[in-house]
Amino acid sequence: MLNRLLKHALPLWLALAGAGGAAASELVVATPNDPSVDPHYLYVSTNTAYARHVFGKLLDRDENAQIKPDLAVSWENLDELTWEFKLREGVKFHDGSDFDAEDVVFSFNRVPNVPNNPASYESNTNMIDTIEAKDPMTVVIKTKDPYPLLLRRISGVSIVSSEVVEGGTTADFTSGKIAIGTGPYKFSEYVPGDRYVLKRFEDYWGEKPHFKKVTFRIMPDSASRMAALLGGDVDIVEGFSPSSVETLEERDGFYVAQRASARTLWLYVDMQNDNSPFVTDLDGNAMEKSPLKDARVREAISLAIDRDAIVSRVMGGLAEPANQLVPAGWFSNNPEIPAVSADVERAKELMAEGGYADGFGLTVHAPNDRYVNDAKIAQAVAQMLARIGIKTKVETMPKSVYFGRLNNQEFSLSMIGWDNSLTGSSLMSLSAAFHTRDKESGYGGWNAGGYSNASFDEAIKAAEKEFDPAIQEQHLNEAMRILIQEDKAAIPLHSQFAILGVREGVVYEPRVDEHFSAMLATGSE
Amino acid sequence: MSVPSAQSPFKRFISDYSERKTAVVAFLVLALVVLTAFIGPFVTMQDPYDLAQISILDSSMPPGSESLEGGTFWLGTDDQGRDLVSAIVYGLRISIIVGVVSGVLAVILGASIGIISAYVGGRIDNLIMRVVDLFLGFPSFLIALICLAVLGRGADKVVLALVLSQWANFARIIRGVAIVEREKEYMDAARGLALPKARIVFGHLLPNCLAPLIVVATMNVAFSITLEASLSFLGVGLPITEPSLGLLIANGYEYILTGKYWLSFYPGVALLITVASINLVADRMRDVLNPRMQK
Amino acid sequence: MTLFLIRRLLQSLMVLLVMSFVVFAGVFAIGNPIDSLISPEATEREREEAISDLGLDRPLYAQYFVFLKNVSKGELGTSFVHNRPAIQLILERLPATLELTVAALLFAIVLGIPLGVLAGLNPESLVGRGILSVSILFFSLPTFWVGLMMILLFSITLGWLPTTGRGETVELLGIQVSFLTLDGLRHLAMPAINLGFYPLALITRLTASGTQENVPLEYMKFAKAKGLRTRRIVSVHLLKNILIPIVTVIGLQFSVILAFAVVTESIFAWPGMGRLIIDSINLLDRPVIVAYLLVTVVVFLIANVLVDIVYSILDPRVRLGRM
Repeated sequence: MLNRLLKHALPLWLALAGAGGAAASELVVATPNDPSVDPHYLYVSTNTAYARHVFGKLLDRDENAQIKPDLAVSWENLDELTWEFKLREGVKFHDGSDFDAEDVVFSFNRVPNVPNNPASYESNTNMIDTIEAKDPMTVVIKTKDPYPLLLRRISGVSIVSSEVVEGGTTADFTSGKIAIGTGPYKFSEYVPGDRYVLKRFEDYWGEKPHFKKVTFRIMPDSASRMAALLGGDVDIVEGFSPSSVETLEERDGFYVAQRASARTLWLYVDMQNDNSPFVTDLDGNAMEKSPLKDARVREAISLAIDRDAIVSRVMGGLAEPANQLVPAGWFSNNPEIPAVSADVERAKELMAEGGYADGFGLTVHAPNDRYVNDAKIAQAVAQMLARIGIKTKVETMPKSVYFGRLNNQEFSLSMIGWDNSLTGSSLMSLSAAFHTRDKESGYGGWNAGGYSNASFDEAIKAAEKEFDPAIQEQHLNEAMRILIQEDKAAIPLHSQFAILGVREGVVYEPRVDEHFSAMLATGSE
Repeated sequence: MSVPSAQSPFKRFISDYSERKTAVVAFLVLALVVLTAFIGPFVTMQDPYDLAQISILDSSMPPGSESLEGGTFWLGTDDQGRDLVSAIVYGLRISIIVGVVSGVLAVILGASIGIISAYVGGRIDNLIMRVVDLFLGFPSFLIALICLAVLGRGADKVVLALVLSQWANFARIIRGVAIVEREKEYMDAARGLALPKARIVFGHLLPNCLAPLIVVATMNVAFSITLEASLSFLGVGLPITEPSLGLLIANGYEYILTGKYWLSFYPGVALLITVASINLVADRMRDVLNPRMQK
Repeated sequence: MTLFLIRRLLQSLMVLLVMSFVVFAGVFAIGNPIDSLISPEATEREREEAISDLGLDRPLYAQYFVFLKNVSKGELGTSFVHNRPAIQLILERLPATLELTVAALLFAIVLGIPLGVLAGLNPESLVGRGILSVSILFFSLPTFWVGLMMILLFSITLGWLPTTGRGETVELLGIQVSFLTLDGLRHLAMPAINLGFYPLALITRLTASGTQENVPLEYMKFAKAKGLRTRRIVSVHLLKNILIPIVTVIGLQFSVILAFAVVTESIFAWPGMGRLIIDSINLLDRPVIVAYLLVTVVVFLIANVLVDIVYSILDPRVRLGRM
């Protein structure tokens, strides 16, 4: 690590100290993701990453997923429900107009009202009761219930210009007509499926980014992205495959930028069904009682999985074995949960204790186009389960088919990867994926294992309302302990790394949420 | 189509076929490939489809490496730790079965419909051709994806998808040829003799459309195998734990630029040999069978 | 002739109608786009709202009825993913795909017919057998593998051509085309050749087999006896007789290539509609899938009608009315 730092920081320093301004002015990025130019349309993480270039927010999340001021400079709680934000003075939109509180109110109101939106950003605004402009530089937000998470939530709301966007549609953003923000880059050109070009905004209020022009080349195939990098057509490759890391490291003129990310992969276990859909006896017949309901069997499955082998052989060493649902070192990572190391003998004993010494039949389900090496991980897991006598099959499918079925609880053992950067804690994953399903209150929207435990639910509810981080962490740690140690209702696998391939001469440090940000790129030429 | 000597047609076919050395070699290679595919699974060092027999710790080993159990991976291992020799032998079997079954089914279905359509003509011909257009308008992978979603994964679904996406091609080709044939004198003669329709279609029309049919049918076996590989490349197709040759290549594809060439190189060679020998054999058969080419 | 075209058009409309229903039912059976797009933070209720906003909670027949009603007003629906009219998304990418497809076919025809005739006239020579053997190799390798090998060789090792993407475009009759600029041609070369290999092999082999079949026929002997030059025999007499199956195949290949362009476009990052359709299938963006199919069917029907017309020119015995 130090080596790399010296290798890249030194030339950078020389360049900065030297002539200055002689830097290459354009950055070309190969990315698998087509953007939505409208920052309020299609809430997926890659769009949030694109939006950060062009649009400002009241508060943003920095590269470590920590809250930092953006268009708001200070804020205070008037009471448990009321928040007052002071806005930044002298901020200009790309069209030269001034930014004020009206733009903020307009943007928050637009978020839930974008028509035909299959993935709305409204999860970031629906706790808000009212939002108003107290004066041109002050905004007051009232929430429906006490909501400590608000500061993180509003980092998901991009601020657009009310004068320009009023009455405009998503298509008007796509054409660039109303793609006007306060961000460090401004819209230049978007050719769907081909490229998205941004130009540096010279009147940006903050520190101006290094590159004058950024071109995102949209390339869905990972091998061709790698080829484009090697062929000198692009400077940075997003969505870099771990299998290519070794090659790139060996080659002159390139390096791999990497960092442990906030995404942890785990397996849901069907905790609910007596007749779990993909559990059979050894002859393939349905069973009366699902072995997965036996905690000893779940523990055996967890012990059978050699996470170190997955990390070293499937992930090329670019992942961290996980013993719970948030990465080590994070807020709400429970230090009392011991590390798991594979123990096939103990796993076999547990299987025998549960009465399944001869094993049973099970299918592992996973997407094949969602996480880094998802299908390969599922196969590796299946191999390991086969070692303790579980006759395992693997079924992988495109995410379009997978997530619908996952949510319908159609699987018995299924993979998911959760990005914890939004809350910076386990709160979102625990409440969405393991709280008892409750349509009214919105809990358990992704509870695909059908897990339900009253004391777990209680801990989550307490954590959600708690303003004091230290006490909140206690609640979350308790919830994690119940889930992982007591009930063994989720089987953690690993936390993946953000990996990018970079051309020598460009310096880039990845963000923890895996978002690409051209503002973090600098040159050393 | 008179046979001049007392030779049986089969013997005559054999002797005609053997006139060309490359064709004989191709036939021997094909025979060897088929034999490997169907006997090989009994002698390989592991069953690559049995997850308990493979280990991720053996993954991506270069050719000639020792396995944990002491065997040698002569062609290396894939990214899940499968011995590539075993995987290729098993994959060969699946690819050949999927290719031949779907290729032949598609041709039989398509050619029958095409010929009938051409012979009957009129409204029915029109209707059939519109159905053909309907199918030709579907990209094959859309059909495959729908099959995958509705039926789940498996070789039988892939075969179904391949047949459904290809039969219309043959219907259209054969109909084009048959329409021309229909207008020729010998058909008038056959009709003049008041032969039964089925006899005219299959006894006279079909043999005269046979030459192009054999060309496209054999190419189609090859095409089915590569199409199945492309489907695998796009993430639909056979179950990943039971890879065909195409799936092995697709899995190894991302390693091509990384120096781990063997993952897709050797399966690629196996595929090349298989398909090329099928085509060479078929090519010669076409020359021999073609009535117009006979001396 | 006009009557024939009108009837053909009406029939095609029926095909489109049936097909749109098949796609509707097919995509309905797979699932809905919300599940793969919606953020994991969304609650159950937000998900249901999103589904009902797009009208996806209604029964199949009701959704289809709404679709038909919109079609009668000339609207094919709005993309779930891009929130823009689906037909507009398709049409803005159509030129890139057509350019690639036509370039690939041209490559195949220009190279395939002469090679095929050469091989057909000299089937026993080294050249003839060489051509036929190489054409067999082209069938045997998957497009994506060959594509990557080409990038590896021509872009990374030799550095002759850009790895991926579409080059500089200029406007021609209101459409953006890239084949008129040098940069555009350099970008077009590899994907077009990659996509053209399969039809090249097919056309070469069909031409060769057609030539071989025709050489011993009376009219060829007659032409030779009359002392016509080989070039004239080939270009006037032979080609006219072997073109029917070739034209059929080229017409058919058009849709096959259009479909296979998906793979090539994906490897070479070519911004055509093949890429769009694969994304749309992955995300179950039904309006775009339907619009794509309608557009490909229309393109294909046009190709078919052209083939039929060429038939009647090549062989007067085939009358249009009977097709």
